[in-house]
Amino acid sequence: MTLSESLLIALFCMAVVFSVLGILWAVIRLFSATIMTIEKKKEKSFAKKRGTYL
Amino acid sequence: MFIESLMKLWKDSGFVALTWQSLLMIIIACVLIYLAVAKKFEPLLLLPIAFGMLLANLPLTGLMNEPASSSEAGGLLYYLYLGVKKGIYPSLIFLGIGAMTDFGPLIARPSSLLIGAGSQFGIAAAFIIAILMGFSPKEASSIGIIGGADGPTAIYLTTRLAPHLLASIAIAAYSYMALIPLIQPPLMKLLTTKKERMIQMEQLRKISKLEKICFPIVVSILCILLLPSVAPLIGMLMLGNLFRESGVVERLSDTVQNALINIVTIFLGVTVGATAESSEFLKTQTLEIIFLGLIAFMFSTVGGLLIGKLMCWATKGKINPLIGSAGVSAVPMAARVSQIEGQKANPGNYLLMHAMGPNVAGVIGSAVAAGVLLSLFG
Repeated sequence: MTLSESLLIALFCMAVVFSVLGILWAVIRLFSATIMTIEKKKEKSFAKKRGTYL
Repeated sequence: MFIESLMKLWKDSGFVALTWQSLLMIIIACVLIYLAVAKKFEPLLLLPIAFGMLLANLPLTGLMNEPASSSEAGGLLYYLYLGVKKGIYPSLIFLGIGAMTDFGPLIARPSSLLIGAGSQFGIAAAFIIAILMGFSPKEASSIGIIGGADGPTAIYLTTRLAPHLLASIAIAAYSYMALIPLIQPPLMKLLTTKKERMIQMEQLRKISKLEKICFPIVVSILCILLLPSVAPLIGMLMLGNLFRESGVVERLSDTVQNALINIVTIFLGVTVGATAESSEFLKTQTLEIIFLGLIAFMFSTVGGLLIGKLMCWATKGKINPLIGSAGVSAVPMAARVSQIEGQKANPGNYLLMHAMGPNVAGVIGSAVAAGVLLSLFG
């Protein structure tokens, strides 16, 4: 294998690692935001119900 | 007749078959045992590896022999080694690691994944240098993965791509992991300013149980769809984590992080060490691997630190770049080093939990890197 081929492979490997982890970063932010929104809504509706009973 | 029996006993003994190479390997094994016991160099793996090396180099034991015919039995370690050869043990160790790992800091700051990615730079650097030194692409990949600072991943990849280098690579990987407190601090001081090291980071937000349960499922689906070759490692890592976070399988979680991982560690360590026979180990190649392993570790630390600095700049000083060095997946040693160096600059600084994010991200990063190399050369 030549130096240029090994450089290309190394760059490709790093590019894939960054891409996969970058996509993972975006997906985690998305599902965290979704879950936090759902949980906030649940808390609000629970607080409303408590307010109604009190 | 008595003397004849004694002579036969002597001729059949290992003393007669002992060569200077076996003797040297026995001495090296004893040195590694000393490092594991007295200096506590990653003893959980280095001790069984060293003892496996000792057993393999005591002559005429046949411990690693294949069965000569279908009616004969092979050696004990030959059968135990099948778990390494088939990639079973590293995956089971990842199962235990997943059950022991809290991904909360990573979920709280997902940008740590970028540090985990940058910390795989050592794999790329060592790969290129190994090719220049005359190693084949498969060998260079196996040597490069030392830079991921992840023992099971290194063993998993090496058994598939370059099994003849397994002992040297495993010993280099675990020895350098133990030396992280010596290797990383000079690089951390070189690449960061005192002002940067003093940065105190905001407390991480609290993570809900639902997030922690969704995390392993989402990561498994995404990573394995993108890169099917990482399935054994990432799949087991995330299964272990799901056992931990679901809270409904305490028995299973307890088993995988205690009994299972301990049993597999013993089998893995002893059999990996047993591949270190003098004919394979006593070559200049072994010294080259040890040198390249150091290069891989150093470049991985540099890669993580540079991403840390970039994040510090992008967030206008909210991220302490010292957490960048924790992207090497030696959990939790690398995170502790970030904590120690942070406290040296600013005694009120507590970076441990912030550094755990990149630390566990590095485990995922090194598994992904291994998957890429396996796809290319496997």
